[in-house]
Amino acid sequence: MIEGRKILGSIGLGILTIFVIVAVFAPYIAPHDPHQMYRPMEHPSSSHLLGTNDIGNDILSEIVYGTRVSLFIAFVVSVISMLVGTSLGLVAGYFDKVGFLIMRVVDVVLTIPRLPLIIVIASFIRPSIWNLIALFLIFGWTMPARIIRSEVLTLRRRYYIDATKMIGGSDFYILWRHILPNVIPLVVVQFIMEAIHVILAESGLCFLGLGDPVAMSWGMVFHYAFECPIIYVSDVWMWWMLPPGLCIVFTVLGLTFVGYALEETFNPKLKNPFGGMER
Amino acid sequence: MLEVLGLTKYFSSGLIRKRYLRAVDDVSFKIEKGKTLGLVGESGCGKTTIGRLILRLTKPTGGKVLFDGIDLFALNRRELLAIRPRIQMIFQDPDSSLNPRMKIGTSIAEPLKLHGTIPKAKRGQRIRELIETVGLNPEHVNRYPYQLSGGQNQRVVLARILAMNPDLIIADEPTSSLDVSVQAQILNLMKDLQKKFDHTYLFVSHDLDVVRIMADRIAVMYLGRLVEIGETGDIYDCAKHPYTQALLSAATVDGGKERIVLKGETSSPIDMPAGCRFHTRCPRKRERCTIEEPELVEVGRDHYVACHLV
Repeated sequence: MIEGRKILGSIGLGILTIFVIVAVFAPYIAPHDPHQMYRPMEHPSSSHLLGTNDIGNDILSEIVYGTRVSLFIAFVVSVISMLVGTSLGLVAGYFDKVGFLIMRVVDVVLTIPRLPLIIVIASFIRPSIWNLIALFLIFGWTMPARIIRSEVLTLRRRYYIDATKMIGGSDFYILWRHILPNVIPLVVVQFIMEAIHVILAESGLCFLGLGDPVAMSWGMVFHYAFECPIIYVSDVWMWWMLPPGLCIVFTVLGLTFVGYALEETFNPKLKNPFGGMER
Repeated sequence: MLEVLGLTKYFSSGLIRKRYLRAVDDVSFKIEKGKTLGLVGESGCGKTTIGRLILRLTKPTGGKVLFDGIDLFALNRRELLAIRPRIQMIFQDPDSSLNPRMKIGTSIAEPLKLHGTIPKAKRGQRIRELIETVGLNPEHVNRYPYQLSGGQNQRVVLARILAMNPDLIIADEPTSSLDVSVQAQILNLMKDLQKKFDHTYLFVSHDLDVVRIMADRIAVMYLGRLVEIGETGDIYDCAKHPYTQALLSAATVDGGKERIVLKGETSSPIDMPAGCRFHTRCPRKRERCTIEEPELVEVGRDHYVACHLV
Protein backbone atom coordinates (compact mmCIF):
# COMPACT_ATOMS: atom_id res chain seq x y z
CA MET A 1 0.00 0.00 0.00
CA ILE A 2 2.84 2.34 0.91
CA GLU A 3 4.67 1.60 -2.35
CA GLY A 4 1.46 2.36 -4.24
CA ARG A 5 1.24 5.73 -2.57
CA LYS A 6 4.82 6.53 -3.50
CA ILE A 7 4.26 5.62 -7.16
CA LEU A 8 1.07 7.67 -7.35
CA GLY A 9 2.85 10.58 -5.68
CA SER A 10 5.67 10.48 -8.23
CA ILE A 11 3.18 10.36 -11.10
CA GLY A 12 1.30 13.32 -9.64
CA LEU A 13 4.48 15.28 -9.11
CA GLY A 14 5.55 14.51 -12.68
CA ILE A 15 2.25 15.78 -14.11
CA LEU A 16 2.42 18.96 -12.04
CA THR A 17 6.06 19.58 -12.98
CA ILE A 18 5.19 19.37 -16.68
CA PHE A 19 2.36 21.89 -16.28
CA VAL A 20 4.50 24.26 -14.23
CA ILE A 21 7.28 24.14 -16.86
CA VAL A 22 4.71 24.81 -19.58
CA ALA A 23 3.35 27.77 -17.62
CA VAL A 24 6.73 29.30 -16.84
CA PHE A 25 8.25 28.84 -20.30
CA ALA A 26 5.05 29.43 -22.28
CA PRO A 27 6.66 31.93 -24.75
CA TYR A 28 9.32 29.36 -25.69
CA ILE A 29 7.00 26.38 -25.85
CA ALA A 30 4.04 27.87 -27.70
CA PRO A 31 4.54 27.51 -31.49
CA HIS A 32 2.70 30.76 -32.26
CA ASP A 33 1.56 34.00 -30.69
CA PRO A 34 -1.89 33.15 -29.27
CA HIS A 35 -3.31 36.49 -30.46
CA GLN A 36 -2.03 36.10 -34.02
CA MET A 37 -4.86 35.43 -36.49
CA TYR A 38 -4.51 32.69 -39.10
CA ARG A 39 -7.15 31.09 -41.29
CA PRO A 40 -10.06 30.18 -39.01
CA MET A 41 -11.28 26.64 -38.34
CA GLU A 42 -8.25 24.90 -39.74
CA HIS A 43 -7.86 21.21 -38.96
CA PRO A 44 -4.70 19.98 -37.22
CA SER A 45 -1.64 20.13 -39.43
CA SER A 46 2.11 20.36 -39.01
CA SER A 47 1.99 24.15 -38.63
CA HIS A 48 -1.06 24.15 -36.31
CA LEU A 49 -0.87 20.95 -34.24
CA LEU A 50 -4.34 21.46 -32.79
CA GLY A 51 -5.73 23.54 -35.63
CA THR A 52 -7.15 27.04 -35.30
CA ASN A 53 -10.36 28.34 -33.73
CA ASP A 54 -13.26 30.37 -35.14
CA ILE A 55 -11.26 33.61 -35.22
CA GLY A 56 -8.07 31.98 -36.44
CA ASN A 57 -5.98 31.74 -33.24
CA ASP A 58 -3.65 28.76 -32.91
CA ILE A 59 -5.41 26.49 -30.33
CA LEU A 60 -2.25 24.82 -28.99
CA SER A 61 -0.64 28.21 -28.28
CA GLU A 62 -3.83 29.35 -26.58
CA ILE A 63 -3.79 26.31 -24.31
CA VAL A 64 -0.09 26.72 -23.52
CA TYR A 65 -0.65 30.34 -22.46
CA GLY A 66 -3.88 29.30 -20.72
CA THR A 67 -1.81 27.09 -18.41
CA ARG A 68 -0.24 30.27 -17.07
CA VAL A 69 -3.55 31.89 -16.26
CA SER A 70 -5.17 28.82 -14.71
CA LEU A 71 -2.18 27.90 -12.54
CA PHE A 72 -1.52 31.52 -11.59
CA ILE A 73 -5.03 32.01 -10.22
CA ALA A 74 -4.94 28.70 -8.33
CA PHE A 75 -1.49 29.42 -6.89
CA VAL A 76 -2.17 32.99 -5.77
CA VAL A 77 -5.52 32.11 -4.18
CA SER A 78 -4.10 29.07 -2.37
CA VAL A 79 -1.02 30.86 -1.05
CA ILE A 80 -2.95 33.85 0.31
CA SER A 81 -5.71 31.63 1.70
CA MET A 82 -3.15 29.52 3.54
CA LEU A 83 -1.29 32.54 4.93
CA VAL A 84 -4.47 34.16 6.21
CA GLY A 85 -6.18 30.92 7.26
CA THR A 86 -3.15 29.55 9.08
CA SER A 87 -2.45 32.76 11.01
CA LEU A 88 -6.08 33.11 12.03
CA GLY A 89 -6.29 29.40 12.88
CA LEU A 90 -3.19 29.62 15.08
CA VAL A 91 -4.50 32.67 16.93
CA ALA A 92 -8.02 31.25 17.21
CA GLY A 93 -6.76 27.96 18.61
CA TYR A 94 -4.38 29.49 21.10
CA PHE A 95 -6.40 32.41 22.49
CA ASP A 96 -9.91 31.42 23.55
CA LYS A 97 -11.72 34.75 23.37
CA VAL A 98 -10.32 35.92 20.02
CA GLY A 99 -10.79 32.39 18.78
CA PHE A 100 -14.47 32.46 19.63
CA LEU A 101 -14.96 35.62 17.56
CA ILE A 102 -12.96 34.37 14.59
CA MET A 103 -14.80 31.08 14.57
CA ARG A 104 -18.22 32.76 14.53
CA VAL A 105 -17.14 34.68 11.41
CA VAL A 106 -15.94 31.40 9.89
CA ASP A 107 -19.27 29.76 10.75
CA VAL A 108 -21.18 32.49 8.95
CA VAL A 109 -18.95 32.38 5.84
CA LEU A 110 -19.07 28.59 5.74
CA THR A 111 -22.87 28.47 5.79
CA ILE A 112 -22.96 30.48 2.54
CA PRO A 113 -23.07 28.11 -0.42
CA ARG A 114 -19.74 28.84 -2.03
CA LEU A 115 -20.06 28.27 -5.76
CA PRO A 116 -23.59 29.68 -6.27
CA LEU A 117 -22.65 32.91 -4.51
CA ILE A 118 -19.43 33.22 -6.52
CA ILE A 119 -21.51 32.83 -9.69
CA VAL A 120 -23.96 35.49 -8.58
CA ILE A 121 -21.25 38.00 -7.60
CA ALA A 122 -19.14 37.21 -10.66
CA SER A 123 -22.07 37.99 -12.93
CA PHE A 124 -22.35 41.48 -11.42
CA ILE A 125 -18.72 42.55 -11.25
CA ARG A 126 -16.42 43.25 -14.17
CA PRO A 127 -14.79 39.96 -15.10
CA SER A 128 -11.06 40.12 -14.53
CA ILE A 129 -8.41 37.83 -13.08
CA TRP A 130 -7.98 39.95 -9.96
CA ASN A 131 -11.70 40.10 -9.31
CA LEU A 132 -11.88 36.33 -9.59
CA ILE A 133 -8.95 35.96 -7.20
CA ALA A 134 -10.60 38.31 -4.70
CA LEU A 135 -13.83 36.34 -4.96
CA PHE A 136 -12.16 33.02 -4.24
CA LEU A 137 -10.25 34.58 -1.34
CA ILE A 138 -13.47 35.51 0.46
CA PHE A 139 -14.06 31.82 1.05
CA GLY A 140 -10.59 30.33 0.77
CA TRP A 141 -9.32 31.18 4.26
CA THR A 142 -12.21 29.64 6.22
CA MET A 143 -11.51 25.91 5.94
CA PRO A 144 -7.79 26.16 6.74
CA ALA A 145 -8.60 28.49 9.67
CA ARG A 146 -11.05 26.00 11.10
CA ILE A 147 -8.88 22.92 10.59
CA ILE A 148 -5.70 24.56 11.90
CA ARG A 149 -7.60 25.84 14.93
CA SER A 150 -8.87 22.41 15.90
CA GLU A 151 -5.34 21.02 15.62
CA VAL A 152 -3.93 23.85 17.74
CA LEU A 153 -6.58 23.14 20.36
CA THR A 154 -5.11 19.67 20.89
CA LEU A 155 -1.47 20.68 20.40
CA ARG A 156 -1.57 23.37 23.05
CA ARG A 157 -2.50 20.79 25.69
CA ARG A 158 0.73 18.86 25.15
CA TYR A 159 3.19 18.94 27.99
CA TYR A 160 5.94 20.53 25.92
CA ILE A 161 3.86 23.68 25.63
CA ASP A 162 3.66 23.95 29.43
CA ALA A 163 7.34 23.04 29.62
CA THR A 164 8.18 25.90 27.24
CA LYS A 165 6.11 28.33 29.29
CA MET A 166 8.13 27.33 32.33
CA ILE A 167 11.43 28.09 30.67
CA GLY A 168 10.12 31.52 29.77
CA GLY A 169 8.80 31.14 26.22
CA SER A 170 6.29 33.83 25.24
CA ASP A 171 2.99 33.04 23.55
CA PHE A 172 4.33 34.23 20.22
CA TYR A 173 7.45 32.10 20.62
CA ILE A 174 5.35 29.03 21.45
CA LEU A 175 3.10 29.56 18.44
CA TRP A 176 6.01 30.12 16.09
CA ARG A 177 8.49 27.52 17.28
CA HIS A 178 6.33 24.77 18.72
CA ILE A 179 2.85 24.89 17.24
CA LEU A 180 3.40 26.11 13.67
CA PRO A 181 5.92 23.38 12.72
CA ASN A 182 3.43 20.78 13.91
CA VAL A 183 0.55 22.09 11.78
CA ILE A 184 2.57 22.58 8.55
CA PRO A 185 1.56 19.12 7.21
CA LEU A 186 -2.10 20.10 7.55
CA VAL A 187 -1.44 23.40 5.82
CA VAL A 188 0.16 21.65 2.85
CA VAL A 189 -2.80 19.29 2.47
CA GLN A 190 -5.21 22.23 2.72
CA PHE A 191 -3.16 24.08 0.10
CA ILE A 192 -3.66 21.21 -2.34
CA MET A 193 -7.39 20.97 -1.59
CA GLU A 194 -7.79 24.68 -2.18
CA ALA A 195 -5.81 24.59 -5.44
CA ILE A 196 -8.03 21.77 -6.74
CA HIS A 197 -11.13 23.69 -5.79
CA VAL A 198 -9.97 26.93 -7.43
CA ILE A 199 -8.95 25.25 -10.70
CA LEU A 200 -12.34 23.54 -10.98
CA ALA A 201 -14.34 26.58 -9.88
CA GLU A 202 -12.43 28.94 -12.16
CA SER A 203 -12.98 26.78 -15.23
CA GLY A 204 -16.62 26.41 -14.21
CA LEU A 205 -17.04 30.19 -14.08
CA CYS A 206 -15.28 30.63 -17.42
CA PHE A 207 -17.46 27.94 -18.91
CA LEU A 208 -20.49 29.97 -17.82
CA GLY A 209 -18.97 33.02 -19.49
CA LEU A 210 -18.02 34.76 -16.24
CA GLY A 211 -14.28 34.56 -16.79
CA ASP A 212 -11.83 37.22 -17.92
CA PRO A 213 -12.14 37.45 -21.72
CA VAL A 214 -8.68 39.00 -21.98
CA ALA A 215 -6.84 36.40 -19.94
CA MET A 216 -7.39 33.19 -21.84
CA SER A 217 -7.45 30.36 -19.27
CA TRP A 218 -8.24 26.72 -20.04
CA GLY A 219 -11.81 27.39 -19.01
CA MET A 220 -12.09 30.28 -21.49
CA VAL A 221 -10.78 28.13 -24.38
CA PHE A 222 -13.42 25.61 -23.43
CA HIS A 223 -16.06 28.30 -23.20
CA TYR A 224 -15.39 29.71 -26.69
CA ALA A 225 -15.35 26.21 -28.15
CA PHE A 226 -18.68 25.49 -26.53
CA GLU A 227 -20.20 28.68 -27.92
CA CYS A 228 -19.28 27.76 -31.47
CA PRO A 229 -22.14 25.69 -33.02
CA ILE A 230 -19.88 23.83 -35.44
CA ILE A 231 -18.45 21.64 -32.70
CA TYR A 232 -21.79 19.85 -32.41
CA VAL A 233 -21.80 18.72 -36.01
CA SER A 234 -18.14 18.03 -36.75
CA ASP A 235 -14.92 16.57 -35.33
CA VAL A 236 -13.65 19.99 -34.28
CA TRP A 237 -14.36 19.26 -30.57
CA MET A 238 -11.60 16.65 -30.62
CA TRP A 239 -8.85 19.27 -30.91
CA TRP A 240 -10.67 22.33 -29.60
CA MET A 241 -12.70 21.18 -26.59
CA LEU A 242 -11.02 18.00 -25.46
CA PRO A 243 -7.43 19.29 -24.90
CA PRO A 244 -8.25 22.10 -22.41
CA GLY A 245 -10.66 19.72 -20.64
CA LEU A 246 -7.93 17.09 -20.35
CA CYS A 247 -5.51 19.71 -19.01
CA ILE A 248 -7.96 20.51 -16.20
CA VAL A 249 -8.52 16.82 -15.48
CA PHE A 250 -4.80 16.01 -15.36
CA THR A 251 -3.90 18.98 -13.18
CA VAL A 252 -6.55 18.04 -10.63
CA LEU A 253 -5.48 14.41 -10.83
CA GLY A 254 -1.82 15.37 -10.30
CA LEU A 255 -2.72 17.46 -7.25
CA THR A 256 -4.87 14.65 -5.85
CA PHE A 257 -2.07 12.08 -6.25
CA VAL A 258 0.45 14.33 -4.55
CA GLY A 259 -1.99 14.98 -1.71
CA TYR A 260 -2.58 11.26 -1.32
CA ALA A 261 1.15 10.55 -1.14
CA LEU A 262 1.80 13.39 1.31
CA GLU A 263 -0.87 12.04 3.60
CA GLU A 264 1.37 9.04 4.16
CA THR A 265 4.52 11.07 4.67
CA PHE A 266 2.84 13.32 7.19
CA ASN A 267 0.93 10.64 9.02
CA PRO A 268 3.44 8.44 10.85
CA LYS A 269 0.67 6.01 11.70
CA LEU A 270 0.40 5.03 8.04
CA LYS A 271 4.16 4.65 7.76
CA ASN A 272 4.48 2.48 10.83
CA PRO A 273 3.62 -1.19 10.29
CA PHE A 274 2.41 -1.29 13.90
CA GLY A 275 -0.17 1.37 13.06
CA GLY A 276 -1.31 3.58 15.90
CA MET A 277 1.64 2.83 18.15
CA GLU A 278 2.59 6.43 18.52
CA ARG A 279 5.57 6.97 20.74
CA MET B 1 11.35 27.16 50.92
CA LEU B 2 7.83 26.48 49.71
CA GLU B 3 4.80 27.17 51.80
CA VAL B 4 1.31 26.43 50.54
CA LEU B 5 -1.52 28.01 52.54
CA GLY B 6 -5.18 27.17 52.07
CA LEU B 7 -4.72 26.47 48.36
CA THR B 8 -8.10 26.08 46.68
CA LYS B 9 -9.17 25.43 43.11
CA TYR B 10 -12.77 25.03 41.98
CA PHE B 11 -13.53 24.29 38.36
CA SER B 12 -16.94 25.62 37.40
CA SER B 13 -19.20 24.42 34.64
CA GLY B 14 -22.62 25.43 33.40
CA LEU B 15 -23.79 28.94 32.62
CA ILE B 16 -27.07 29.29 34.48
CA ARG B 17 -26.90 26.65 37.17
CA LYS B 18 -23.22 26.73 38.00
CA ARG B 19 -21.76 23.51 39.34
CA TYR B 20 -18.37 23.42 40.98
CA LEU B 21 -15.81 20.68 40.90
CA ARG B 22 -13.74 21.04 44.02
CA ALA B 23 -10.40 19.81 42.73
CA VAL B 24 -8.27 21.22 45.52
CA ASP B 25 -9.85 22.38 48.75
CA ASP B 26 -7.97 24.30 51.44
CA VAL B 27 -4.66 22.46 51.17
CA SER B 28 -1.70 23.63 53.25
CA PHE B 29 1.80 22.24 53.56
CA LYS B 30 5.45 23.24 53.77
CA ILE B 31 8.58 21.91 52.13
CA GLU B 32 12.01 22.74 53.48
CA LYS B 33 15.00 23.43 51.26
CA GLY B 34 16.67 20.33 49.89
CA LYS B 35 13.86 18.07 51.08
CA THR B 36 11.26 16.06 49.24
CA LEU B 37 7.56 16.04 49.95
CA GLY B 38 5.72 13.08 48.47
CA LEU B 39 2.14 13.85 47.51
CA VAL B 40 0.07 10.70 47.17
CA GLY B 41 -3.55 9.87 46.47
CA GLU B 42 -5.65 8.11 43.89
CA SER B 43 -6.15 9.53 40.43
CA GLY B 44 -8.44 12.54 40.27
CA CYS B 45 -7.79 13.63 43.84
CA GLY B 46 -6.13 16.89 42.79
CA LYS B 47 -2.43 16.04 43.06
CA THR B 48 -1.53 17.26 39.59
CA THR B 49 -3.70 20.37 39.97
CA ILE B 50 -1.65 21.39 43.03
CA GLY B 51 1.54 21.20 40.96
CA ARG B 52 0.02 23.26 38.16
CA LEU B 53 -1.34 25.82 40.61
CA ILE B 54 2.07 26.39 42.18
CA LEU B 55 3.51 27.02 38.71
CA ARG B 56 0.53 29.23 37.86
CA LEU B 57 -0.22 27.13 34.81
CA THR B 58 -3.76 27.02 36.24
CA LYS B 59 -5.48 29.96 37.90
CA PRO B 60 -6.15 29.41 41.60
CA THR B 61 -9.53 30.08 43.26
CA GLY B 62 -8.00 30.95 46.60
CA GLY B 63 -5.08 30.53 48.95
CA LYS B 64 -1.46 31.52 48.89
CA VAL B 65 1.78 29.99 47.76
CA LEU B 66 4.91 31.41 49.32
CA PHE B 67 8.18 30.62 47.58
CA ASP B 68 11.12 31.85 49.63
CA GLY B 69 8.64 34.24 51.20
CA ILE B 70 7.42 35.58 47.85
CA ASP B 71 3.68 35.27 47.26
CA LEU B 72 3.56 33.66 43.81
CA PHE B 73 -0.10 34.54 43.22
CA ALA B 74 0.54 38.25 43.78
CA LEU B 75 3.19 38.54 41.06
CA ASN B 76 2.55 40.35 37.80
CA ARG B 77 3.62 38.95 34.43
CA ARG B 78 7.15 40.30 34.50
CA GLU B 79 7.86 39.30 38.07
CA LEU B 80 6.47 35.87 37.30
CA LEU B 81 8.75 35.47 34.28
CA ALA B 82 11.69 36.43 36.48
CA ILE B 83 10.91 33.81 39.12
CA ARG B 84 9.70 30.99 36.90
CA PRO B 85 13.13 29.54 36.07
CA ARG B 86 13.55 28.70 39.75
CA ILE B 87 10.47 26.46 39.77
CA GLN B 88 10.31 23.72 37.17
CA MET B 89 8.03 20.77 36.55
CA ILE B 90 8.56 17.26 35.21
CA PHE B 91 5.48 15.79 33.57
CA GLN B 92 4.08 12.28 33.53
CA ASP B 93 4.67 11.52 29.89
CA PRO B 94 8.24 12.19 28.75
CA ASP B 95 7.33 11.65 25.10
CA SER B 96 4.86 14.51 24.98
CA SER B 97 7.11 16.71 27.13
CA LEU B 98 9.36 17.20 24.11
CA ASN B 99 8.44 18.71 20.78
CA PRO B 100 8.41 15.76 18.34
CA ARG B 101 9.80 17.94 15.54
CA MET B 102 12.74 19.28 17.50
CA LYS B 103 16.09 17.56 17.82
CA ILE B 104 17.19 16.66 21.35
CA GLY B 105 20.07 19.14 21.18
CA THR B 106 17.74 21.96 20.14
CA SER B 107 15.35 21.10 22.95
CA ILE B 108 18.12 21.26 25.53
CA ALA B 109 19.50 24.48 24.03
CA GLU B 110 16.06 26.12 24.19
CA PRO B 111 16.12 27.16 27.86
CA LEU B 112 19.65 28.52 27.43
CA LYS B 113 18.57 30.50 24.38
CA LEU B 114 15.37 31.86 25.93
CA HIS B 115 17.02 32.68 29.18
CA GLY B 116 20.18 34.12 27.67
CA THR B 117 22.33 33.71 30.76
CA ILE B 118 25.06 31.94 28.85
CA PRO B 119 26.79 33.54 25.85
CA LYS B 120 26.19 31.81 22.56
CA ALA B 121 29.75 30.58 22.22
CA LYS B 122 29.63 28.70 25.50
CA ARG B 123 26.25 27.07 24.93
CA GLY B 124 27.65 24.01 23.16
CA GLN B 125 29.85 23.22 26.11
CA ARG B 126 27.02 23.74 28.60
CA ILE B 127 24.79 21.40 26.58
CA ARG B 128 27.51 18.72 26.64
CA GLU B 129 27.81 19.16 30.41
CA LEU B 130 24.08 18.82 30.88
CA ILE B 131 23.89 15.73 28.70
CA GLU B 132 26.67 14.13 30.71
CA THR B 133 25.04 15.06 34.02
CA VAL B 134 21.83 13.22 33.13
CA GLY B 135 23.71 10.24 31.70
CA LEU B 136 23.02 10.58 27.98
CA ASN B 137 25.45 10.17 25.08
CA PRO B 138 26.65 13.26 23.20
CA GLU B 139 25.52 11.59 19.98
CA HIS B 140 21.90 11.74 21.16
CA VAL B 141 21.95 15.45 20.40
CA ASN B 142 21.09 14.91 16.77
CA ARG B 143 18.24 12.47 17.40
CA TYR B 144 14.53 13.13 17.58
CA PRO B 145 12.43 12.23 20.63
CA TYR B 146 10.76 9.29 18.87
CA GLN B 147 14.19 7.73 18.31
CA LEU B 148 14.85 7.58 22.05
CA SER B 149 13.24 5.45 24.75
CA GLY B 150 10.88 6.87 27.37
CA GLY B 151 13.62 6.73 29.99
CA GLN B 152 16.08 8.56 27.74
CA ASN B 153 13.48 11.20 26.95
CA GLN B 154 12.87 11.75 30.66
CA ARG B 155 16.62 12.33 31.00
CA VAL B 156 16.40 14.93 28.25
CA VAL B 157 13.57 16.59 30.16
CA LEU B 158 15.76 16.63 33.26
CA ALA B 159 18.63 18.17 31.27
CA ARG B 160 16.31 20.92 30.03
CA ILE B 161 15.20 21.60 33.57
CA LEU B 162 18.76 21.62 34.94
CA ALA B 163 19.67 24.21 32.33
CA MET B 164 17.43 26.63 34.24
CA ASN B 165 19.23 26.01 37.60
CA PRO B 166 15.95 25.54 39.46
CA ASP B 167 15.50 25.47 43.22
CA LEU B 168 12.16 23.69 43.32
CA ILE B 169 11.20 20.84 41.03
CA ILE B 170 7.65 19.59 40.88
CA ALA B 171 7.71 16.04 39.62
CA ASP B 172 4.28 14.89 38.48
CA GLU B 173 4.48 11.11 38.38
CA PRO B 174 7.78 11.30 36.47
CA THR B 175 8.15 7.54 36.27
CA SER B 176 4.58 6.28 35.95
CA SER B 177 4.86 5.69 32.20
CA LEU B 178 8.23 3.93 32.39
CA ASP B 179 9.30 0.30 32.84
CA VAL B 180 10.13 -0.71 36.40
CA SER B 181 13.86 -1.10 35.67
CA VAL B 182 14.01 2.29 33.97
CA GLN B 183 11.96 3.81 36.80
CA ALA B 184 14.72 2.93 39.26
CA GLN B 185 17.37 4.55 37.05
CA ILE B 186 15.43 7.79 36.74
CA LEU B 187 14.64 7.87 40.47
CA ASN B 188 18.30 7.31 41.34
CA LEU B 189 19.30 10.04 38.93
CA MET B 190 16.81 12.41 40.55
CA LYS B 191 18.18 11.58 44.01
CA ASP B 192 21.77 12.15 42.83
CA LEU B 193 20.82 15.46 41.25
CA GLN B 194 19.08 16.50 44.45
CA LYS B 195 22.22 15.80 46.47
CA LYS B 196 24.42 17.58 43.97
CA PHE B 197 22.34 20.71 43.39
CA ASP B 198 20.36 20.85 46.65
CA HIS B 199 17.01 20.70 44.83
CA THR B 200 13.72 20.76 46.65
CA TYR B 201 11.19 18.27 45.29
CA LEU B 202 7.44 18.10 45.36
CA PHE B 203 7.06 14.52 44.25
CA VAL B 204 3.54 13.69 43.09
CA SER B 205 2.75 10.02 42.71
CA HIS B 206 0.23 7.29 43.28
CA ASP B 207 2.95 4.70 43.70
CA LEU B 208 3.67 4.28 47.40
CA ASP B 209 6.83 2.26 46.84
CA VAL B 210 8.32 5.04 44.76
CA VAL B 211 7.32 7.72 47.23
CA ARG B 212 8.82 5.76 50.12
CA ILE B 213 12.22 5.82 48.40
CA MET B 214 12.05 9.45 47.36
CA ALA B 215 10.25 11.41 50.06
CA ASP B 216 11.31 12.81 53.42
CA ARG B 217 7.72 13.69 54.23
CA ILE B 218 4.48 12.38 52.80
CA ALA B 219 1.15 14.12 52.29
CA VAL B 220 -1.89 11.97 51.55
CA MET B 221 -4.79 13.47 49.62
CA TYR B 222 -8.35 12.34 49.23
CA LEU B 223 -10.84 14.21 47.01
CA GLY B 224 -8.98 17.51 47.02
CA ARG B 225 -8.12 17.53 50.72
CA LEU B 226 -5.12 16.54 52.77
CA VAL B 227 -6.06 13.73 55.12
CA GLU B 228 -2.65 13.03 56.62
CA ILE B 229 0.83 14.50 56.48
CA GLY B 230 3.99 13.50 58.29
CA GLU B 231 7.53 12.11 58.14
CA THR B 232 7.83 9.18 55.75
CA GLY B 233 8.70 6.77 58.54
CA ASP B 234 5.76 7.86 60.70
CA ILE B 235 3.32 7.51 57.82
CA TYR B 236 4.51 4.03 56.90
CA ASP B 237 4.81 2.74 60.46
CA CYS B 238 1.90 4.34 62.25
CA ALA B 239 -0.58 5.78 59.76
CA LYS B 240 -3.55 7.19 61.64
CA HIS B 241 -6.09 7.93 58.92
CA PRO B 242 -8.19 4.95 57.76
CA TYR B 243 -7.62 5.99 54.13
CA THR B 244 -3.84 6.01 54.53
CA GLN B 245 -4.02 2.65 56.26
CA ALA B 246 -6.03 1.22 53.39
CA LEU B 247 -3.62 2.66 50.80
CA LEU B 248 -0.61 1.23 52.61
CA SER B 249 -2.16 -2.17 53.02
CA ALA B 250 -2.68 -2.29 49.26
CA ALA B 251 0.96 -1.48 48.53
CA THR B 252 3.29 -4.37 47.78
CA VAL B 253 5.95 -3.54 50.37
CA ASP B 254 3.57 -4.23 53.24
CA GLY B 255 2.88 -7.89 52.58
CA GLY B 256 2.75 -8.88 56.22
CA LYS B 257 -0.34 -7.00 57.28
CA GLU B 258 -3.87 -7.86 56.34
CA ARG B 259 -5.25 -6.03 53.36
CA ILE B 260 -8.00 -3.50 53.94
CA VAL B 261 -10.33 -3.53 50.97
CA LEU B 262 -12.34 -0.34 50.58
CA LYS B 263 -15.92 -0.70 49.45
CA GLY B 264 -17.66 1.51 46.94
CA GLU B 265 -16.43 4.18 44.60
CA THR B 266 -14.72 7.46 45.27
CA SER B 267 -17.43 10.11 45.63
CA SER B 268 -17.73 12.58 42.83
CA PRO B 269 -15.86 15.83 43.50
CA ILE B 270 -18.93 17.66 42.16
CA ASP B 271 -21.50 16.28 44.64
CA MET B 272 -19.26 16.10 47.63
CA PRO B 273 -20.71 14.22 50.65
CA ALA B 274 -21.33 16.26 53.79
CA GLY B 275 -18.98 15.77 56.72
CA CYS B 276 -15.80 13.82 56.19
CA ARG B 277 -15.29 13.21 52.47
CA PHE B 278 -14.13 9.70 53.13
CA HIS B 279 -17.11 8.60 55.24
CA THR B 280 -18.90 6.88 52.33
CA ARG B 281 -16.10 4.33 52.13
CA CYS B 282 -14.65 4.42 55.62
CA PRO B 283 -14.70 1.07 57.46
CA ARG B 284 -14.83 2.84 60.84
CA LYS B 285 -17.45 5.48 60.14
CA ARG B 286 -19.22 7.16 63.10
CA GLU B 287 -22.30 9.36 63.04
CA ARG B 288 -20.19 12.45 63.60
CA CYS B 289 -18.27 11.75 60.39
CA THR B 290 -21.38 12.30 58.25
CA ILE B 291 -22.06 15.75 59.73
CA GLU B 292 -18.83 17.48 60.61
CA GLU B 293 -15.76 17.83 58.41
CA PRO B 294 -12.59 16.98 60.35
CA GLU B 295 -9.67 19.41 60.57
CA LEU B 296 -5.99 18.47 60.51
CA VAL B 297 -4.81 17.88 64.11
CA GLU B 298 -1.33 17.15 65.34
CA VAL B 299 -1.02 13.56 66.56
CA GLY B 300 2.76 13.26 66.79
CA ARG B 301 5.86 15.27 66.03
CA ASP B 302 5.08 16.99 62.73
CA HIS B 303 2.40 14.42 62.03
CA TYR B 304 -1.10 15.74 61.24
CA VAL B 305 -4.28 13.79 60.60
CA ALA B 306 -7.78 14.90 59.58
CA CYS B 307 -10.01 12.30 61.21
CA HIS B 308 -12.52 12.36 64.08
CA LEU B 309 -11.29 9.02 65.36
CA VAL B 310 -7.85 10.18 66.48
